[in-house]
Amino acid sequence: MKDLRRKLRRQLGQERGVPSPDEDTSSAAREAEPTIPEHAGPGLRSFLLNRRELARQARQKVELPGDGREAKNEAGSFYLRHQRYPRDHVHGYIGLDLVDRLDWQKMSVIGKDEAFADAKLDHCLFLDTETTGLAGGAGTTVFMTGIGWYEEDAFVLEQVFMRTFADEAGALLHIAQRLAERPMMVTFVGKSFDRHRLAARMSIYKIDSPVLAPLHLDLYYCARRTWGDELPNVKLRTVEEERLGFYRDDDLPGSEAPAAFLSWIRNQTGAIDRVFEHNRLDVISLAALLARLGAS
Amino acid sequence: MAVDNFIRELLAGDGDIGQVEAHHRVDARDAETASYPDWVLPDLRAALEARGILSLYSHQRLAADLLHANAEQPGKHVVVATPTASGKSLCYHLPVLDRLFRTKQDPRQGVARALYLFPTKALARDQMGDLERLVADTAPNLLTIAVYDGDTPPATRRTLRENGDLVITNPHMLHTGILPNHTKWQGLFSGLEYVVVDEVHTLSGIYGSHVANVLRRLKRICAHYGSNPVFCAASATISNPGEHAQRLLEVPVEVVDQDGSAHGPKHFFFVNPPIISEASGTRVPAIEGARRVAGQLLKSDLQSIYFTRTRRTMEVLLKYIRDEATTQHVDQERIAGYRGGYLPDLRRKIEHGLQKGQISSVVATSALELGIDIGSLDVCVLVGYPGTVSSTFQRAGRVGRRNHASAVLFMARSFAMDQYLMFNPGYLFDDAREAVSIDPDNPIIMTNHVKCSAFELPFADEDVKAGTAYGKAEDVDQVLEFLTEDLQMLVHQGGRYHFADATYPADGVSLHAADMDNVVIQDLDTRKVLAEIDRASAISEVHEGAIYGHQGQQYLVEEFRYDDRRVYVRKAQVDYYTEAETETEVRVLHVDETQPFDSYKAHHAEVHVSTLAKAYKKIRFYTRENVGIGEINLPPEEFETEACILTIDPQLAAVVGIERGMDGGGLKGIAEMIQGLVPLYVRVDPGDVAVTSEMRHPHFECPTLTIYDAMPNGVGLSERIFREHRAILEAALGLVRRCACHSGCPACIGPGVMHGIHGKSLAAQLIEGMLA
Repeated sequence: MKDLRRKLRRQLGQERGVPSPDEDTSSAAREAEPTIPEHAGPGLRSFLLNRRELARQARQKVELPGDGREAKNEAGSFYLRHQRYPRDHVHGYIGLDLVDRLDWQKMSVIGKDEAFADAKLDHCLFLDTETTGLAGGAGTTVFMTGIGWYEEDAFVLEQVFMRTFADEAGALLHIAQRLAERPMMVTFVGKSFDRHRLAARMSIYKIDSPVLAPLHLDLYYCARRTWGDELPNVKLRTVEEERLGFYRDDDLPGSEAPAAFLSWIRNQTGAIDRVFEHNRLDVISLAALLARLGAS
Repeated sequence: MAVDNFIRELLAGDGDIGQVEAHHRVDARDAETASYPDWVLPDLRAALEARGILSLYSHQRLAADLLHANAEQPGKHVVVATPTASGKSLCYHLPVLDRLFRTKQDPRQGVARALYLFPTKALARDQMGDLERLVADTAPNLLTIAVYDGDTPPATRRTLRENGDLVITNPHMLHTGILPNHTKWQGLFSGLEYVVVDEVHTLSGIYGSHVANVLRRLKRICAHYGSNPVFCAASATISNPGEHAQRLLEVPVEVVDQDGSAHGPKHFFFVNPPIISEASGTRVPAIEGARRVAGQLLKSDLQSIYFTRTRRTMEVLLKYIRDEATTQHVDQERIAGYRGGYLPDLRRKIEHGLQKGQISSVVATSALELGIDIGSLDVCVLVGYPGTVSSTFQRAGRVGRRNHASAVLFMARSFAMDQYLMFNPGYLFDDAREAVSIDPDNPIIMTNHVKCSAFELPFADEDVKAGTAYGKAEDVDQVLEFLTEDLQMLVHQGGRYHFADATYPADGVSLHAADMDNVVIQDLDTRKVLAEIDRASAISEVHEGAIYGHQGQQYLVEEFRYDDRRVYVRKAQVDYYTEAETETEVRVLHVDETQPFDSYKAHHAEVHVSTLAKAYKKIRFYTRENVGIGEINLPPEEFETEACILTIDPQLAAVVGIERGMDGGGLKGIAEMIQGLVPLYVRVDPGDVAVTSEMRHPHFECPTLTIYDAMPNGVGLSERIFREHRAILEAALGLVRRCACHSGCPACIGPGVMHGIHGKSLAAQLIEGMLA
């Protein structure tokens, strides 16, 4: 019954643009570069240049950030990037040490939960995930998780990445272990998204973790309560620009992260390096945002 | 007076209803009872005894004992196949509730959960009410019974997920909501001990093949969480319950099919309405006979149910009965209609009214064939043959109380099949129930579900090699390779196939093509949503100018906003209803493969099927006069699919002399037989493929038979028919040769009146010529 796959190609292939069984199937990226018409205005021109850049990246082998390394635990190995920032690192116009003036009483009001009044900075784990999609469900994979925490003289940032699916269990266990040390997650829209994605994947690998613990500080809701009336919206990008004074150049939109990863996992091409940068900035923004919201 | 005498007198007294061509009596039977098993929790038994269930029927006891697990042996998988109203649900409630209660009361015995699957939301709600009362009577506030379906409010979903001891849902919800989010249902899946799949006879053909795959996915998830549930399937009486359940569940099953319930005698009257035109054999419409019967029944204290074949006939008959009730000053509240498309609240109200005896007459479509509890009624009127033997008995099963006689009146239409049965009633009673068949390994259906399953859990190489990765399916390796290499949805890394795509695959896989895209019907005066209708029927039933019947009231369709899928109607006092004429055209798009034979060619092709409603007629109530026509301006319903086309050499046709057949009678007869035989070769419902015949095909310019997958994009049925069509033709030849009838009957090419006097012999000669 070797015919089944051939039959499936014919019957199901067209919906995904799979070449028919008789065509050549060499899978070199066939996407043609967009040509830029001479009369194109600046808006169109930059759009097309960006598309051309993406198409170029999609074909090029990409390297993971050089400061990362392979790490290992009992669930397996994975890729770990570990960075330390001075505690007074400046993000936009916020110094991360503004956190020293954090008033948890105030956070309990903004966060609408009295339990935050007794929270400790040492228990906070800043966390942001990158996933294979927004659909949710068991099959949406967390391929990268950025986590950050404060130490005495530093803000530590780790990026946990699965180079292949064989890395996933190790990567998730690493997150679970960090969460065991610092069980209060600080996220942006993580209460409804990131933590459920992690919980689903951890459950598939049977990793126990307090990932759904009730004490979860979602800064999105805090920002909305604090600035909802003043800002056009409370997307992270808007809040960064309007309240942290931080502007990103050449940031890969979060919506393009899934495609970048899917291209990486199949043939080590695509913009995965830009996803690392995007995720790194997200985590630092979380720390800056907590300080900005809660400083007395 | 006994109901049979009442009916006899009624028919004798009003000759205009029709003539009784045959009478068949199913004798009364005493119950075969059995005591409660010793293992049943005393409180549960007490709650049942308080409802008057002092003993069990033999089949209930047998099934319950098999399903029950004890120290010596685990529970066995069971299929219960007994008639409507024989108390099937108690078979599984007993062992399931017993186990759930015991573990709740004593957690040292483990944590047990159960999952019930019903084909429709209506049935789920019906069972829910029943179970909640039983559970509350046994031990209040101990078990949580949860219905989880599209109507479950999002706010309560989380609680149900976490606390539901017994979760009731439907295959669609399991497929799109529960399985893809199994990590949120860990409690259910890790403790799952029983899975009940009810009404499995409805899980046939393509739909059943989908559900079989959903169950394969369910089992993978159970294995992941370490549970290994016992399955119980319940079915109406079909000819192959064991085979069907085994194929659906892929476990060895014990068959329990000896009905131990009691029933009074049941009388079947085969009633033929009077002939209006001798020349054409046309008779008074069956609905007219039904109306007259209803007029008399309204005066009695008998509860009656009328089954029609279509929604439109249902509404027309309902209006007639309402008119009759007005004349007789009978309360309109005592009369109801029941069909799909009515909103859930209305349906619940009607079911309740029937149980309580507040409603004395109900006009229904096949929607009341399923096991929704409406109590047992007295008289069932079948307005035309329901189409299958199983369906006939499902409908007839709605009447017959324990110790009372009941009656079934089969009112014949002028159509051939109905007329055949009037004179050959044995066809219904001589063990001719249809077999139900499915094909879980249909490549397209299986591939779609392997994709969904990979989303839920990665596939491990060792399981694929061992052949245990995905139910009993073979060739899973090739499906996974296809999804990985060709569709690029999976990646193969670390010895496993992982889902690597941004989509949510279950959203793109519909179990029922008909689930999607309903058209909403809104009342312009009240602004309320009145009902829903599936898209394919909408063009011929709610086009602008159509009269839409709802609960016996007429509404005029004022606007059909096709793009919004919304229809606006307004109450209207009219004396007519409307009927649209549709035309279906099958156009060849591309011939993929051709096999030449001596006197015909077989092709496998892509085709375009379009159904257009062009015009409608206004038909006056009662007299059926045509009082006007109108145009319909709606786009056709169209889809592309695949077909197997047999093109016959015109010379063969000429030699056989096929033009002697009335309007291509021989050819049509072959088409009929192929339609009937296809399920034997390709495991589908007859309705999953459509067969057409043309004396001169516009594309091939010769006599043709076209067999196509009757759903968008096809699911590969035609290709298998293309490969096996000679075996099917041989079977057809055997059938027509062996059949003792003179010039055609429903057992071979269809009744002679349809295909002409030569139809049968022409069909035989033509197939002989093709196979030569």
